[in-house]
Parts: sequence; C-alpha cells; structure tokens
Amino acid sequence: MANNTEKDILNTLDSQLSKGYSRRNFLQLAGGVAGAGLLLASCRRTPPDSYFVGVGDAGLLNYLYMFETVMAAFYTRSYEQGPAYYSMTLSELELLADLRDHQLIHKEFLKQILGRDVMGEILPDLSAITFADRTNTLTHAIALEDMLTGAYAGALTRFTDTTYVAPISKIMTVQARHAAYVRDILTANSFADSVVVDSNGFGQALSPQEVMATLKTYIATHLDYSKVPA
Amino acid sequence: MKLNKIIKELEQQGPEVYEKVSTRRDAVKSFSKKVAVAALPLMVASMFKKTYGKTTDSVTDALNFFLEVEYLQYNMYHSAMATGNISTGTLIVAADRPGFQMIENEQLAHLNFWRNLIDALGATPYTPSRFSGDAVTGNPYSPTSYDFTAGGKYDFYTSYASFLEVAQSVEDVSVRAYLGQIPNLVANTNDVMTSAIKMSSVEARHASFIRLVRRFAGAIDNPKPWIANNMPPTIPLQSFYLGEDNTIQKGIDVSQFTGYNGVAITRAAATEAFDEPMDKATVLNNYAQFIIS
Repeated sequence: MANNTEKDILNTLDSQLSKGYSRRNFLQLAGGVAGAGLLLASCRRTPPDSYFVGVGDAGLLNYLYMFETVMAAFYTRSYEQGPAYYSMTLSELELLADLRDHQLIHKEFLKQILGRDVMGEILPDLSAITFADRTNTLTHAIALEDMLTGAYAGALTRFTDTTYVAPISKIMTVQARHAAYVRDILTANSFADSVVVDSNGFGQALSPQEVMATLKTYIATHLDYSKVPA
Repeated sequence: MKLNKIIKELEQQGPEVYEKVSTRRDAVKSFSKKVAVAALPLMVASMFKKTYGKTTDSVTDALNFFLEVEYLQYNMYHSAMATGNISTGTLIVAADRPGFQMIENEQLAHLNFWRNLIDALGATPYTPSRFSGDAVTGNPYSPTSYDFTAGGKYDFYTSYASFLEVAQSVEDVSVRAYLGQIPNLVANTNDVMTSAIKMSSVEARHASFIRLVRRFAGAIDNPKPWIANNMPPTIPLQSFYLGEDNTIQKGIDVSQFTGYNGVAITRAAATEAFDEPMDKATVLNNYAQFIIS
C-alpha cells in the first residue's frame, strides 16, 4: 500500500518532468507551498498518464530507449549501493562503472536520434532487486543483459529505415559482451551456455512484445506499447 | 529430420513460398515411393534449391565470407584444445577448458549452418586451401590449412598467454566481420540477416570471455570484456583493432555526451559502447597470416 502511494507520487512527478519541470523544482514548489500532505493530495488528484511508446521506427527506438533507461538506473544503483553492502573487487567496481556509462551513452544516443519523437522519461521500478546482495543483483543483471541483447537483435530486422541497422547492431554486440561478462562473474564458463545459445550457435532475437512482458515489471510508469512493431 | 527442418524454414518465408513448398512436398511424397532411397537426398536437394529466395552473388559472397571466418575460428580452437595432454599439461588450463569447449562447439555449429545454407542455395561452399578435413563426413578440421603461430610470430601452441592474445584478436575481428556485412543483408532473404545477427552476438560473448580470462590472468594490457579505444593485446595485432576508436555514430559524436552525475563521459567509454565493423578485405588481410596458402 505504502509502496503504491510512493509509486503514484513518483509517477506523477515523472509526468511533470516530461512536461518540462525538473523533479527537484516540482518538489521545491510543492514543498514550499504546502508541505508533504498537500503534495500527496495533489498527486492523487492527477493520476499518471499512460505513456505512448510510439509507432514504427520511433516505437522501436523508444522501446530500446526505455530499456536503456532501466539499465542505466539499475547500474547506477548497483554502483552507488553495492560496494557499501558487500566487498567488491576493484576490477568489478571498475567494470560496473563501465556498464553504467555504456548504458547512459546508449540511452543518450537513442534519445538524440529520436529527436522530437522521443517519449517522456519513464520511471524505472527496481523494487524487485536486492542491491545489498551480489548474487541477487547479478541474477537480475544477467536476465536484463541477455534480454537486452535479444531485444536489439529482434529490433534490427524490424526497422523500416535501414540506416538504423548499422549503429544498432554495433550496440547489440556490446550488450552481448556485457551479458557474457555478468554471466561469467557469477558462474564461470556460463557466458554463452545453452540458455542463450541454441544448437545452431544462434543467440536470441526477441520481439518487442516478448520483451515488454518482462521489462514492464521493471518500469513503474504506465505504458501503451501496443503500436511498437510486433 | 533435416528435410522437415528445411520445409519448416521455408514455410516461414510467407504464403507465396508456402504454396510452392506444399506442392513440392506432395511431389516428394509421390516420388519417394518410386525413386531409389539412395537417390533421394540428391533429388530433394535439387528441388529445394529452387524454393529458396533468389540470392544475389553479393549475398552468397557474404555467406562464404562468414564460412571462411568460421572455418578459421573452429580450426583455431580445435587445434588449441588438442594441444598438450593431461600428463604434460594442456595448452588451455583446466579451469577454462569448459568455456573453450563451448566456444569450439558453437563455432562448429556456425560453420555447419553456413556450409549447409550455401549448399542449399546452390552455390559452392568455401573450402580452405590445402584442405585435409573430410568432405564426406563433413569434418572441417584441417591442420594443413592453418598456422596460428603466423610463421613463428606468436607462441600460439606453447604459451597459453600467447594463444589468448591471438584468440582475442581473431574473435574481436569476427564480431567486426559480421557487423560489416549485416547492413548489406537487410533484404533478409532466406533469413540470412537474422542468422548473421544471431551469430554476431555469440561471437561477442566469446570475445568477452577471452578478454575476461586475460584480465583475471593479469595480462599487461588489463583488458576489459569490451574494446577500449583501439588497444590490441600485443603490438603485432594492432591492425585487428584499427578503427575501433571511432566515436561518431550516425553523425553524432557520442564522446561529447554527459554521463554519470552530470560529468562528461570518457572517450574510452564512448569507444567501448559501440563495436565497429570491418570490411571483408581488411578482415581477410588480418587473418591471412594464419592461413597457409
């Protein structure tokens, strides 16, 4: 119950954010006027809008942009909270910063090529992840990285404007490198096992609808992704 | 089994092809009662050549290029896995053997997939020069075709570290080889683009693993699972990494982005976040040192 309220507030803040407010300004404004009680009330009066992910190529790029938003938030939290809870090797910390930065770069790149077609910034929901626990965090990292690799692979054959193919394929293989890495630091020699590679030696290519069924559990914002190319 | 699989794949091409296939399937059925069993595979093969989408020479060239890359990689891993023995010590250490066995198996699967597809398309699959494998059983191991020391330049068969340097470079370039061809295959006839995409991600997983093995072994370049700038594992392999330091993606300089906490991202991170394609001629030039011509 408490969680839902918090989610609602954040969702509302987020929709304000997409309308050009910064979250901090909105909080300051609301706090300055009336304090937390009124903030809660005002949030309840404006239920969060459903974000429209888009159609065609823009729908595909926004879908990947949402995924990268989740990934960037996930690694930012891992980087900020992980080392406080469990001992992390210097190597792991260095590569965790890389993972975070790569996702931030992918996210910004997708935002820039979307231009005015970019959707509002979604709010990730990372409540299922226990950042205090390395195994739990890495298990989520593996699921997300494997899925994101498959998401890029699946998106590549769905673009109408094929000039997106070259840059998106270059990101796809880097995601595969990430996936192999997070797999191997949890379980040695599992980087390309039969969970993710079939008997032809094929990696996965996933449809947006397949991916969204799982990805939406990592997103608090209400979404309309019905027009993303199937 | 194989025939069913081919039919299934053909069915996925769309209703037009499906019509063709179903009549052919009937034809196969009626023929198979009359034709000698020995003649069947040949007959079926010739029938299905016609039902694949028309493939241009440039697509066939790309597929044979993939096959050449996979032949080289399979032979590299197979020869390394076979070097040494339990009593004197193996080239590849025990802890990493399951990983390299997995890589070898996946390269073999890639090789067989491309060879069978090229064959089914009616083109001639690439075969390495001085081929000593077995064309009948399909065994692609051909030690007479390759020298992974590159004429003594690398201690490939005697030093694990050296093997890893070569393998990392060959593997990273195989990712680049696929990335170089994928944008040319967007017509995706016979799912060739989809297949290339699915294989490229597996090559990237392999490369990531080898880099991590080297990192944990304390390699002097302290590699990451991704390619920073254009840094090679060792100077003689620099040419495998030329162009990897590109930061312009679709006209945007991604090294100018703001990153964590509003701080500019590093140039290295900008290069790591994107792998870079390599054209066929440059890939083959890099691989040429390992091929006995």
